[in-house]
Amino acid sequence: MVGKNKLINKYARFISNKPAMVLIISLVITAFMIYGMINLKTVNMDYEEMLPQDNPVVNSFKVISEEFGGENSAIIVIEIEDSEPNSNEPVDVRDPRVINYLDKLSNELRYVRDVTAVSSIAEPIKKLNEGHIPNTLNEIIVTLDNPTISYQKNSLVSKDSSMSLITVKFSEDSTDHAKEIEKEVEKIIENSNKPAGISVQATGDVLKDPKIMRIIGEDMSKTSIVSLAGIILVLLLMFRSIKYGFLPLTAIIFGVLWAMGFLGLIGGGLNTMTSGTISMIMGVGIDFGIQIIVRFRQEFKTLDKRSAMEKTMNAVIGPILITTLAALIGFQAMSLGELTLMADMGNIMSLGVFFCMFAAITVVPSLIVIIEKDKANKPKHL
Amino acid sequence: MRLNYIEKFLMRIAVFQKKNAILILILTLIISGFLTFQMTKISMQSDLKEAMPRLSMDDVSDRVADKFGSQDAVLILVQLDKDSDEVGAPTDIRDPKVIKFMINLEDRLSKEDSIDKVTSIGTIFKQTGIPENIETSKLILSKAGAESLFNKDYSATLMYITCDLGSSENGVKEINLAAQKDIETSGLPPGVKATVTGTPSMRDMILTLMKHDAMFTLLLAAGIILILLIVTQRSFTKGIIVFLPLTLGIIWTLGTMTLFGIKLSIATVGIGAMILGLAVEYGVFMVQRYHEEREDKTQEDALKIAVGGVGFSILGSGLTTIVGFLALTISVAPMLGDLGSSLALGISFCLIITIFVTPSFIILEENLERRLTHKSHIKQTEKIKQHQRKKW
Repeated sequence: MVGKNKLINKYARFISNKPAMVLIISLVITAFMIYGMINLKTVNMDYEEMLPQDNPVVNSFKVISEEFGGENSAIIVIEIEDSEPNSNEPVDVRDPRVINYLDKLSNELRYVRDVTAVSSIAEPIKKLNEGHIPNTLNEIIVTLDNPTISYQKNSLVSKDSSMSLITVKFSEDSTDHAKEIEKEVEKIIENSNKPAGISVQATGDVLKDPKIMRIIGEDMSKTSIVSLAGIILVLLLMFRSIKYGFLPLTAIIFGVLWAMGFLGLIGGGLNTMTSGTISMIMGVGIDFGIQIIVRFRQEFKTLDKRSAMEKTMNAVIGPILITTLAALIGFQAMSLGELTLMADMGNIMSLGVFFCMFAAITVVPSLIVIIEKDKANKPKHL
Repeated sequence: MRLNYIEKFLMRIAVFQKKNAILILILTLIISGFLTFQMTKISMQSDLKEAMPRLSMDDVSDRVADKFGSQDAVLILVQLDKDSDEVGAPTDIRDPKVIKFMINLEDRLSKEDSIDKVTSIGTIFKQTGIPENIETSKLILSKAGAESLFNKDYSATLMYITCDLGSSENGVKEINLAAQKDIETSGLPPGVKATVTGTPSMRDMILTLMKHDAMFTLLLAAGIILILLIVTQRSFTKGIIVFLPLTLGIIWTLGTMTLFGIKLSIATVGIGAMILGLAVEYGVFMVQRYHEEREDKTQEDALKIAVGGVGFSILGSGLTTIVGFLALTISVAPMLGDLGSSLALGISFCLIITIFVTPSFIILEENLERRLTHKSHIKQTEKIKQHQRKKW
């Protein structure tokens, strides 16, 4: 069969006759991309960067995050727990035992890496009592009624006096040391000898980021494995053959490897949003391999393996190229809106689909021609 | 030739499609009409927090928000305007002129019905009165320990507005408008600017942009893909036939999302463009194969091979794509789960439409084209005959 496009026809003939060469070149590319994959980073999502930068609401929000420590802050929450009746445990965060504990904890938190300021209610209480914390709850209540510290009281002690906060601000460098900071804060809280009857928990972006990063890694493996298992199941049911069930998988194995390797080579990384792209790329990228296998099996019924592959490639390369181009248009359109939250996902999906297509028209046909054996009684040529 | 059950079933479907093309067209139009009506009622989710994985820390943050009511506060950033060249403009945000403005603004905002509480440096100076000079102001603020209300170089301060916004979009808009009006009437000193911001204002802005982006990205992708299809198919009608399942697929997806109460979120705002890009292959393979077979086969035989062969392969590839997307529903990030389920729904509909509806469209288009060509052929023959008669 003579293809409609000379170039496609030439390529179809080439891959049918020189599958080993194509496979070797593909393996060399893979080795190079594995090196790139090692450099692939897991990065944090910066929502503000994904919003329009010329908008006054966004700009003001950015100023607040940068200059008022919204981004680089943590809150230690001290809460009264339900206590047994007639127990001696504190029932009010203004209890001197709790205030002394807040004071001790605040002092220790000041030595955590990158900390720039720590605020707790113990500080103004001490200021108004010549550096000492009163010994009775009544004395503390009287101190807190002083109007000069009403702002601190309102922002650090809840109205029902069941919760008090310690706010910790960090320098901008803290984003680079989030893991160490998280460990240090956890260690201080653990070893802080808190009074019975109160709970101590920490929250805030600085402490949340390392946890999110760990989740991304676990989530990516989980969704990718489920996706791969589901795809294998569909392929086995569809082809009812181990050989043809696994052959299209090579398109996504090589495609994902190449896409992630390329991403690593250009200094890119994966974040919460893009961590799911691997399972999506696998789902989309497998299509090209399936189209080739289905058509090859149809042609192989009447032709020898090389001729069947030549005819298959002549028939499917055109539609595959059109569909890849259409998919790339769809993914790239997402990055042209005002909200660029989806732009990273669109770019990584584009890379994934492109490389899966590339693997499907190189690795899959060459492997089929190498693995498949010609049966007798078949015409040798088209 | 040995065929599997699915291929045999699809071939039977092809025979039905050939015979009942108009019936299939009418049914498709009825379903599409109903889902188009549903689609117009789709709601949007603009809260970024709802899109992120939920950690135990978030429960702690929620409890803090309950007790202190500060998490979703509307913020007013009051800052020195660095570009201003006004004479006598404040050079420190603790200037008595700024404090006077803050007290006025706080008073006005506190009177608004929808606002529960307003906190700023104005709260401190309401007790002590407006200071005479900046030195007194610094002294009072230092005693009150209000450092967290300022940035490091004292060029900006914050006002926190706590209010019950509810779930309606209008709540944020009302607060924004009220705050804007009160800023204008509270005597903002020259050389100082005030901007309403905070999470609710950001959500309001995101919502507006989402509506714009959903339409823009969809129309952009649709326009380019349609041109690509018309060019590659070398026919306007064939291009439209490949494109039709995509359009119907998007309508059916958005309509079904509305029926099931799935909101369009920041993660799913681009699904229209993604579905267009991903599902186009089904129609391309179907139309291409039909015309390839049609070169030496009857309509029914060509359709049987196209629906049986391509239908089988796109069913397989569509199912793997759906599996890939459905895998995202186990993700801890709700935005990925929403994206995965919405895309899986979209691909499923495009697949169903390509296998069950597109073949009827192919037949109708071919018949229509043949009828038109036949009519123009008759007209042309008539003209030649008339010309010949005149000649004789």
